[in-house]
Amino acid sequence: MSPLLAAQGLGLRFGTVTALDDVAVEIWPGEVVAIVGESGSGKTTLLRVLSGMMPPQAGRVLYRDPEGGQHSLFDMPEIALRRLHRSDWGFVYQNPRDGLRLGISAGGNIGERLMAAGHRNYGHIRAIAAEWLARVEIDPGRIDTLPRNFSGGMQQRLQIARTLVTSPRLVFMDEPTGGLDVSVQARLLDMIRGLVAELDLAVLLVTHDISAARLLAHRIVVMQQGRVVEAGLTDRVLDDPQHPYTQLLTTSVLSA
Amino acid sequence: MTTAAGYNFGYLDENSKRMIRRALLKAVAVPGYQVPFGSREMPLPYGWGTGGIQVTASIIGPDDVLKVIDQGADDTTNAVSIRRFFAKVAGVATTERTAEASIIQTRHRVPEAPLREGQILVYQVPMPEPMFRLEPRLAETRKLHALADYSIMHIKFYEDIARTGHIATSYNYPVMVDDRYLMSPSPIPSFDNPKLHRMPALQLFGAGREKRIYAVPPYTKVRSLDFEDHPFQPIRADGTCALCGSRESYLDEIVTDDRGGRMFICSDTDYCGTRAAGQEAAE
Repeated sequence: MSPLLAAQGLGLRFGTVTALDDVAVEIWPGEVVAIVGESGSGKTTLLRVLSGMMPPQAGRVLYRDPEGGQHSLFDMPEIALRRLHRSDWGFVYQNPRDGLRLGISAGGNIGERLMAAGHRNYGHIRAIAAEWLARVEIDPGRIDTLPRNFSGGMQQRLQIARTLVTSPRLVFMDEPTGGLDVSVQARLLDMIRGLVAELDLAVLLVTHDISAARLLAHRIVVMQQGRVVEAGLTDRVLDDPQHPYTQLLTTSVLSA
Repeated sequence: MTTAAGYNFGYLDENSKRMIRRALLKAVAVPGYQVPFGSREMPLPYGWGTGGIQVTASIIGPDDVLKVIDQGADDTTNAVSIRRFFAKVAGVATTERTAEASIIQTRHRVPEAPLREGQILVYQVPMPEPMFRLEPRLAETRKLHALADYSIMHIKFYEDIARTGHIATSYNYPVMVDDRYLMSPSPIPSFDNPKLHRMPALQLFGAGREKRIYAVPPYTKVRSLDFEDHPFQPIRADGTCALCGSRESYLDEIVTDDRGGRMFICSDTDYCGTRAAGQEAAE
């Protein structure tokens, strides 16, 4: 077995600011990797580089397709990268407004990826959309409602349904619980955990929420000032932090 | 016939015509692809057919016979003015007969009579980009064309069916040309869409304000976008032409008084007139 996505020696600077400094990450099929760190530590930049949205100045990212072929992400033609984003990969944005079409009904939002993948049967698309709404705990009766009339938590769940409908193998999530109240966060995390186990998804999760990382992730990568300062199994990193910054991070969590 | 003094043949100067012809050749070579061109100022406002006139001006020759229709009719202001314009600046023969014309410039209709090889149909196009209502950034729509990613158009149809039970597009109904490019057929009724498919005549599309030219070469596959379980259905008013009795042609509805009186007549005046004359001759 080989990793779904492997990055080595990633480097990126914005002027004098170092966003990524010799970063290496691997994601294996079916595992959830959380990237944690404070604001400005390069988490989101890393996510954008790994998902092919932003080219690095150094290093490379290798992607393995379902047939086992290896591709260097930034040598792929744009058309192939775009297809990848619509089939084998998914991206869940922090703000559901970035990932949804607000003027299109919930069913249309879920159907978009199906239609991009070549589905041309209305009844079939609608049936799949209704099924996915139920799976993310939205009443299928609201299939024709516009997402702007949904609550924040529902919008985020709709975005997840829209992303997962084409059965991707790897999903990037950028702070999926950001901006939601605590009880909604808990339900959303619970739902993501269920879907990940059920669909055998690999997830690359960016978060500053240590408890979300503990709940979902198998492995944790801790970043500080563009560098990976510590990486390992979630329980090991959080219960026995070695690096001073990780120690600071774990002790900063308020327990209710 | 002689051309008006002081004007080049066909109004446009030869260099402009060559530039437009180059764009036309490229358009024919890549069916359905929108080729940018340097649209010229014409002696009529944008939206009145400047794109179509520039295309016609660059392909017309002294032996051509020109027909101009506006919504199917030969006798409306736009059609009459453009026909007179070319009679004046190119000195070409004009006709109202579809079969006799070598070039037909049209606004919003395809003639009812089947076209043959050697004829050229020139469409006036207000907005060449079929996705502009869905994706306002033209740079992005060009990218979607390059990637052949037309799911956005299907989303629109999905929303139509979810809301109204059918695809609620009755004109300017987008088509796939040669299984590659999504194309706006210009605001022709969807009734005319099937005529575009494998038409023996050359079809040229000119958009003057948007500065784009595109083309469908003869016998090219043109398919209207649809869903498997909601197939494309051309729309025609359920009526009979009051003048020629046609049950097949595309009809205009005319209000005849203020007490709800109305009648249907063919939108294609040449088709209607020919049929009516034939019926009189038979009697």
